[in-house]
Amino acid sequence: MSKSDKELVDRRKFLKGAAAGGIATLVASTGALAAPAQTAAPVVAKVAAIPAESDPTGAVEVLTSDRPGSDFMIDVFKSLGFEYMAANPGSSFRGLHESLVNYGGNKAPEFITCTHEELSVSLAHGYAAVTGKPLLVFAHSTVGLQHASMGLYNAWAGRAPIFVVLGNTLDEAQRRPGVEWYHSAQDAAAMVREFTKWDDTPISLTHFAESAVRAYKIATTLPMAPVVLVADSELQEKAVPPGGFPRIPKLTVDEPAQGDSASVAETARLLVAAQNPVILAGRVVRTPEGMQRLIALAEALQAPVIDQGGNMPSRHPLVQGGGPLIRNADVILGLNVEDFWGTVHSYRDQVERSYKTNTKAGAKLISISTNEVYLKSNYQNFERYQEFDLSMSADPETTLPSLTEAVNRLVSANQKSAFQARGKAFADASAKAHDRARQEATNGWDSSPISLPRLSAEVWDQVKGLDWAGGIGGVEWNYEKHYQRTHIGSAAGVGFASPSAVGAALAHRKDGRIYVHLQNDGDLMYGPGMLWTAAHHKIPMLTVMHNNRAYHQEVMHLQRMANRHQRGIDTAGIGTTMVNPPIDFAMMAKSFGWYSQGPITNPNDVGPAVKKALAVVKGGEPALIDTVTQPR
Amino acid sequence: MNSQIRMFGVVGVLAIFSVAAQASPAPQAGNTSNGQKVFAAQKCDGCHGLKGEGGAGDAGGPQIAPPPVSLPMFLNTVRNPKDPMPAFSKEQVSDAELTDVYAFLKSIGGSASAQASAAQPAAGNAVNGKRIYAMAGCYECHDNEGQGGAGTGPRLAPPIGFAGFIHQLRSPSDEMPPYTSKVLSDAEVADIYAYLQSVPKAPALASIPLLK
Repeated sequence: MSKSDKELVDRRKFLKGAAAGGIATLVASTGALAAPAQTAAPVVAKVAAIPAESDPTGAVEVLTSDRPGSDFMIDVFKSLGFEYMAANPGSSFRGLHESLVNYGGNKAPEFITCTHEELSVSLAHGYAAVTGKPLLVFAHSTVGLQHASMGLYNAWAGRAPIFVVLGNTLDEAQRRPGVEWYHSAQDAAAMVREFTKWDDTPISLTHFAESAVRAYKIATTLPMAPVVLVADSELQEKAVPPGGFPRIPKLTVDEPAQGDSASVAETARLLVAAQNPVILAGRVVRTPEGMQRLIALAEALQAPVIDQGGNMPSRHPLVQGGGPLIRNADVILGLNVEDFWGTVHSYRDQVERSYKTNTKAGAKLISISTNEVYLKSNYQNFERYQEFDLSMSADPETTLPSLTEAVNRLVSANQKSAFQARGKAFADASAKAHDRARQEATNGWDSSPISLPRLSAEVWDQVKGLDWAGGIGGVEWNYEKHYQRTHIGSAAGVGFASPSAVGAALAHRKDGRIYVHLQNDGDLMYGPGMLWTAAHHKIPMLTVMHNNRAYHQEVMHLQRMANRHQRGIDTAGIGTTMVNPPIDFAMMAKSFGWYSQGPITNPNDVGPAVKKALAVVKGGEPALIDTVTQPR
Repeated sequence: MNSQIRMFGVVGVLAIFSVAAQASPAPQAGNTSNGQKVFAAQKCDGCHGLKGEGGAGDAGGPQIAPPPVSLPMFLNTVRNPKDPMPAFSKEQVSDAELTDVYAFLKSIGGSASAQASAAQPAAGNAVNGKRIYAMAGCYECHDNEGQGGAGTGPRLAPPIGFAGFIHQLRSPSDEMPPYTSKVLSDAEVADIYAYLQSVPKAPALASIPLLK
C-alpha cells in the first residue's frame, strides 16, 4: 500500500471511531453558525473511547471529503471581518489556503501573495498602522514563522495588531515522511512568545473558534500587539461530520481605559499653574477625532507640543522643536512617549558614555501611557526607566477630553490672556523656525547626488494638490489630515519600510488616495520581492528612492569606531556600502512589473520624473523613481 | 529608528555657529570687566571653560574665545541655540550684557597676532581638501559639499573661524567622533578648510520657487 493510501485509511478508521462513540473533539455544540446564543440548549460534550490504533490495511475507499474543518476556520475569519490575508504559500496550511480561495471565494479575506513571511507580517503592520485593525497572516509552521519573526518583533515594538495563523502537524503519525517533520513542532508558537501577546494551539474546532475570537480581542486591546493561533493540519483537513459547524462566539473588543479622575484633575492643575508647560506627544492619535482632541488640549493651554509621533497638523503654530523647551519646562506632560528618558536626557556616545539631565530642577514630569500595561523583559524594547511625579496607565486619546475639560474649568480670565500671549510667541517662533528651515534647504540645492531638501520639495510640488498619504517630510510638506501620516513604530529592524509601505498603500487604496513614500535602498534590498506583490495586486503607490548606496547608519558607526581607535578613517565603506556595482533600482522595479525611471542624479530631472510617475499611480499601478541622493 | 539618529545628535560648535562666519565688523563697544562678571554669573564657564577654551562640563561646549563669529551672530546664537545649549532670554541677560561678554571673550582670546594666526590657517589646497573630506568620512554626517545632514551634522560650508573649526575637529563636543592629529594632520585640516571655503554659495531663497 502506498503511503498516501495508508494515510487515507487511517483517516477512515479515525472517523469511524468518532461516528460510533462521538469523540469530544469532533462533536459540535449547538445550532448553526448564525444561531443566536439565547435559544441554545446546554452543550454536552460526548466523550467516547479512543479508537484502537492499528496498522492500516485494506483498499482505500475515501478519496474526497466535504466540509473540511478549514472551511469552518474561514467562516471564523470572515466573522472577524478580515479584509486580506497575507502569506507565502505553505503546505502546513494547504487546507486553509484552499478553503479561503474556493469555499471563501477569495474575498474578505483576499489572499495577498507575498514572497517571504517577513514581508507578509510587515505588510500587515503597515495596514494596521493605517486602519488600527489586524490583517490576517498565514505562515508555514517552523520555517515560515522563523521568517516571520523579524516582522513580528517590529510589530511588537510598534504595538501593532497582527493575527498570525500557523500551520503545524502535532500528531506525528499523521506527518508525511521527510519535509513535514522539519515543518512540525511540539510548541509551534514558542519561538515568538517573547514578542507576541498571546498564542494558542486549539485541538477542536470549537476551541479554534473561541481562541480565534479571543486572539482578535487581545490583539486589538491596548497596547495592541501580534497574536499567534496554531491551526493544526489535522484540524484543517479532517471532515466535519454532519451536524453543522460549531458556533462562533461574538467578538467584543474592550474599550480603552482613560486616566483616573483624581490623576486627571491633578494633571490639569499642574498644567494650568505652569509657567512653561510642554506636551510631549509620542504615539497618541489613533483616529481623526484623536487629532482634534490633542489640538484642543494644546490650544486650551497654548502649550507647545513636541510632536514625536506625527499627531498634530505639521504647521500648527504650537508644534515646536525640543531642546530649549525641555530645559525651560516646569511641567512636561508625556503622552505615550516611547523613550521619555532619552527625550529628557542628553546621552553622549564617546569612549566614556555619559548623560546629562535636560530638565530643570523641580520640573514636574507626568505620563499618560499604555506602553507599560503589557511588557515582557527578554527583549528590551522599553527604553530606560524614567521617574515621574505622576503616571497613569491609560490611553491618552481616551483621556484627553476629560483632561481638557478639567483644564478649561480651571483657567481664569487672566490666565487665558496670558496663555494667548504665550501662544502668539510660539506662533512667531514657529514661523521663524519655518523660515530658517527654508533657508537651510537652499544649501546643496543644486547638488548631485540630490539633496534631501531638494528631493522633498520637488515631490511635494507634484503631490500637493492630490489626496495623498504617507509623504516624505521636509520643510514644504503640509500634513493637515490625520490619515496623511502613517502612524507607525517598530524595533528599527531594517527591511520593514518597504513592505509596511505596501501595506499602508493597500489600506488607502479603497479611498483612492495616492500613497507616496521615501524608500531607503538598503531596506528594500532585504525584501525586493515586495515590489512584485504590489504590482501583482495593483496597489497604487509612488516610491521615491533615498538611494545613498549604503547602509549609511552603519557607515557612520564604523567611522566612529575608526576615529576612536585612531586608525583606518578611510575604511568605513567596507561592509557598509552598495557600490561596484551600484544597484539599478529602476531596472529592478521594472522586472517586478512596476513603472520606473532612473537612476536620476540631476535634481532638475526629479520634478518631470515624478509627474510622469504620478500619472501611472493615478491609474492604479505602482511607480518607482530611483533618485540617487546625498548621504543624509 | 529615531534613536539611531539621536546617537549622532547635534554637534557642538559647528551646530551652534551654523550660519556663515562673517568677517567680524568693527567691534562694538563693550565692557570687558563687566563681560567677565556676566560670563561667570550666567555660568557660561560650565560648558565653555573659565577662559572660553571649550570642553568643560558634561556637554563639553565649544571654544568661544576668541569668538568665532560676529557679534550679531553671537547674540542670535545665545538667544536661539541648538541642542544642547540652553537659550538665554533677554530677561536673563540683556543685549548690552552680551556685548560685554563678547568683548571679554575677544580680550582673552590670545594676543592680536596669535588671534590673527589662529584665525587663518596656512594656505590650503581646496582640490586636495575635497579628496580628504570624502576619504575621512566628513560627508557621512555633513553631506558631500558640507551642506549639513538631516539629524547628524550641521552645515560646514562656508566654515566658521579656523581656530574653532580645528578645535572642534580635534576635541569635539557632543557626538562627533574626534579626528586627532594622528589620523589627520594640520595640513590636511587646512586643505579641508580650503575646500569648504571654496564651496559655492547657496542660491538665494527668493530665487527658488519651490521654497516660496
